[in-house]
Amino acid sequence: MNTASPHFDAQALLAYWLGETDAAQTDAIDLHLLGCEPCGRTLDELVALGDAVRDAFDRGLVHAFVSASFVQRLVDSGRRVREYRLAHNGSVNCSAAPGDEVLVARLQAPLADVRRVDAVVRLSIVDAEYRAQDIPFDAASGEILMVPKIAIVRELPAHVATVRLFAHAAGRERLLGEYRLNHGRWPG
Amino acid sequence: MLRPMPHAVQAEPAPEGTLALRIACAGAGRDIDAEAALYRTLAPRVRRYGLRHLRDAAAADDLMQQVMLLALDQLRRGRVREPERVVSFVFGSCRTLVLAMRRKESRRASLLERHGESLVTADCSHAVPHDHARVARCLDALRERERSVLLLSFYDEKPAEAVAGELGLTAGNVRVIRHRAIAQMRRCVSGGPEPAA
Repeated sequence: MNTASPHFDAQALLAYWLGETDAAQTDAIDLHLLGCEPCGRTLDELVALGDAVRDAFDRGLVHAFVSASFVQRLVDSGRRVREYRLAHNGSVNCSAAPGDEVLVARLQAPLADVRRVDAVVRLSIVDAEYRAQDIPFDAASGEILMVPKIAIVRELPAHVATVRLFAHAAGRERLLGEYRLNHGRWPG
Repeated sequence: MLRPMPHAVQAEPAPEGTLALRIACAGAGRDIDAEAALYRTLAPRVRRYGLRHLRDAAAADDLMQQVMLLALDQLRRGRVREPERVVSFVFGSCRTLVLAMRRKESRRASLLERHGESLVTADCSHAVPHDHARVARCLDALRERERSVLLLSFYDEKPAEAVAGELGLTAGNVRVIRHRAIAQMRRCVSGGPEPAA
């Protein structure tokens, strides 16, 4: 039975794992996996990859633009999240306390009708800037949520991080907003 | 969604079916080797089923033990109608027991809600087989949307529909981005060339 049924590719197995398959599809994959070692190994590999991504994030080693719902789920699950809200073109004094697990910069911006946004980050202590191209955002929320690598930020000396958001339309770029995060090391 | 691989292997006797037949034929005489081999083959798969449907490693371990004990017992007693189709028998047992465990879990959750504060928690975290520093570098090498989609998909194990709603994308976009990101991550973390710093 098991060897006669077709194998599933990684995309189908991941959809199954994430609950995207309907009841009949789930049953079919369940039954197949109970009889198929290669597909089981592929699924194990995907699950291990997911665990590794989660682990890297938990260690503060992942920089990402995320959703407000994601941050709320972190808070709800008991993670120690420190959030800084910046008004449009605003600035804030910020730091990472020893117990903090996640830092979030919430940048308010006029996002209505904006299709693509780049974020350009510059640290005053580094002679270079990083351009995050085509970042994901929810236009209706009116804010962009940036999660830096807290494990790295925690070790940095006092500095200013400047974030400029650019909207792209019809081959042109316009400044959406500029923000300053005045970072200081946590006292003590 | 279900996309069979182009070169499916054609029917041949499944090893677990052969082992189940040996156990059923041995009856009270017990074919210990066949029982051990069947356990080694099926137990990890049952555990995988448990992880998918119960989302809890300890519960998946419980399921694995219960299902395998039941399957072996029923085979020995000759109560599995078609031993060569033991996988179907195991599938049915998995479904039944998962439903029972969910009912029990619901009662347990209710008890925990009332008395949970008095319990001491234990660290049941499992080791991650990947090098986290390498995984972080591989994540850095992804495009911004790929990293965000992967993080939101994996962190809470969210389906494409949910991730799409949170990031202003369509579910189709999310699947395409996720697929591309996972392919790159699998190459990167499994020993492919490291991305440039």
